[in-house]
Amino acid sequence: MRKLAVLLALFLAILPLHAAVSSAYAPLYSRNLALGGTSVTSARYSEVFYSNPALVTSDNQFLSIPSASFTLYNINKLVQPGGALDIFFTQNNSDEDMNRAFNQLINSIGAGNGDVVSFQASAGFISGIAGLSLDTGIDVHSMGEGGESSTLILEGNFALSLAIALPWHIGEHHSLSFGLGAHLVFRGYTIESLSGDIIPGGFTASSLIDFYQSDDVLASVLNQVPVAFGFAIPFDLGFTYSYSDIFKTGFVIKNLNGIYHMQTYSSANQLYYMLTGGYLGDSVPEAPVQGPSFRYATPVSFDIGFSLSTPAGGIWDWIDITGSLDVTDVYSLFFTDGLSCENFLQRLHFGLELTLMRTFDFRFGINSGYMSFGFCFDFQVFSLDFLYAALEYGEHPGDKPLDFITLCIRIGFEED
Amino acid sequence: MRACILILILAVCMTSCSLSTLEGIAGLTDSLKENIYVNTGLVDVDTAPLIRDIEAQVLNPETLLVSSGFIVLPSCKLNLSPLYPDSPVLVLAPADRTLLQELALAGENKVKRQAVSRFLRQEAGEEACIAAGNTAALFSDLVDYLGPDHKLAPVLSRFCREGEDFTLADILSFQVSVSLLSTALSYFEEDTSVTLGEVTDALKQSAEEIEPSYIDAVALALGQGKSVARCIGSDWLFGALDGVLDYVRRSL
Repeated sequence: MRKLAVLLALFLAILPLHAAVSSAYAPLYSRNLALGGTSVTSARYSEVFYSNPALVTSDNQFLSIPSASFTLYNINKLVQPGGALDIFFTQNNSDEDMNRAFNQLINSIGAGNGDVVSFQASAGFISGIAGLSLDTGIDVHSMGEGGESSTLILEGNFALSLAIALPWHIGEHHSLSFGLGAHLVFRGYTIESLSGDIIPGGFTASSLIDFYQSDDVLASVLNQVPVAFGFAIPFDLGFTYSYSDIFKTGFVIKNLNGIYHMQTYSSANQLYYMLTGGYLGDSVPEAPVQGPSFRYATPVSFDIGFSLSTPAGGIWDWIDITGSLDVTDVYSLFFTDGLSCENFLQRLHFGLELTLMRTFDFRFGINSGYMSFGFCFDFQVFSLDFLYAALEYGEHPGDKPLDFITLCIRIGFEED
Repeated sequence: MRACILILILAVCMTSCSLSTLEGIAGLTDSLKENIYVNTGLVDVDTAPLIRDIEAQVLNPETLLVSSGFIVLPSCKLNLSPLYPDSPVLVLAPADRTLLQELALAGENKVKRQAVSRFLRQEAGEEACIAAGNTAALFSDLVDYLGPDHKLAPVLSRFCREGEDFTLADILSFQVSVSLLSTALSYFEEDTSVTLGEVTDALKQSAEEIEPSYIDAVALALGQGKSVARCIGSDWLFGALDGVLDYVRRSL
């Protein structure tokens, strides 16, 4: 009975988490964000796995081997005179200049919750009505006072996703599609300590500078910073209605069963030992320590979307224009947060895409009030995606915007 | 990694209508970061907490004024007794660090900028005006010590505002200037007492003699100062800091 009570308490524990690690896992897709965060009916190829599984049948064949993206946050500060990128591009790029640029990158971290840098890689395929995708990413989040005093959280995710859709054609023009997506997500992040509340964190930004400048610190980070690691098996349900591929509407319920089962470890090396039986680096950690386990639930989201595209044929084979509009997290809008102008606009996303000669894509979007831009060179087997966007990290619109750029390179094949 | 970032920047340049420099990109991203719904008035912005914090800073003599032979800065003590040997002088204290962060962030929000600017339009009190005049004189003395041939002299002379009537925006601008002076004085060891003469001697050093990390810290503080100047609508402070930042940048 006592065990049951402890388990129940752990299950119901509401943990003080950084916004990033307490949210559902979803890779950062440069196209979706360039289109203002719209994806319910406008997602394509690998984006459908985390946007709307009912769209799997929109594109007949897709193979990515692999795609990789790099995101750098806080661009506005980094390009200011004396900022990290200013030093990076105007100096001699000696070791000292690189150290200075790195220091300025750390010093420009703002106060409160934010992001610093992110790397992602994925591979996957879609064939007919089903697809499989592997996604992995490493993100550095920040919180605290800002600058060198910021607390950093290193988060890693690895996810295997399966999506399947059942299309139903009604006559010549109308079609419906029902989709199911399931994900096996492994998530790990650094934490403050094994005792007390499990709080994400682990090291300050100044120790990251030491980490950058010295190899020895790598061993101490691997052996001294405690980590939480666990898994979740969330799934998504999606539906779309399409009229001749010109008009689409649909909805998706994302992240059902998004409960993470986490276990804490005294260090990343200890976790590595538990997973593989070996250690990273030369120095072996001292006594192996396994801390408390816990669970936390990530929120479910109910999103609806609409999109309009130019019809196929004639000149429209060479010039394709798509407009999309999403309202995300509709349930909380009506039943939790309340319907107000601000709450509605925070969930409103709008995107416009112009594709020329099936090769050059120009994208524009408005994401909760922030403009986003992107373009893509798509050479069929190779594509290069660029994105500039800003996201709100504060409580209300305009409180704390953080801008970022993403570059995504993909090698693969796709066919409509 | 470097090639990756270079491609990113090139991509930004291509999308920013032939903007060829990082400064151009900085200007562009300044405006792109703003929220459309806030700027068009579709979303209400609560400016009261920010105004309260500013009020606590610029209308409270305890946080506003320093009456002493020293200005006690977070970095060191600036000894004013050689300049004013007869009696302690009333000058403005450095602005609170948290308020500076708050103002720099608020600079990205048009509604907050307007509210702050409106509030700071009012005339400052008599004591604050005297302290502001003395603070301006401090910068004037700094320029005199440097000599007219020093490249920084014309830049620093922008801080030497003349007059007796100042608005609250001027008062806060001077406080920001004193805060930046404090960052510049981090060159000296903590808790030491330095005179303006020693400060100018340090400024006269060549760029090679100065630690790059020190220049970087000053550049960041100046960048934040510009954001604050933008928020409080102080054109003279923005121009002055831009000049100093340009000087520092050329020393990189």
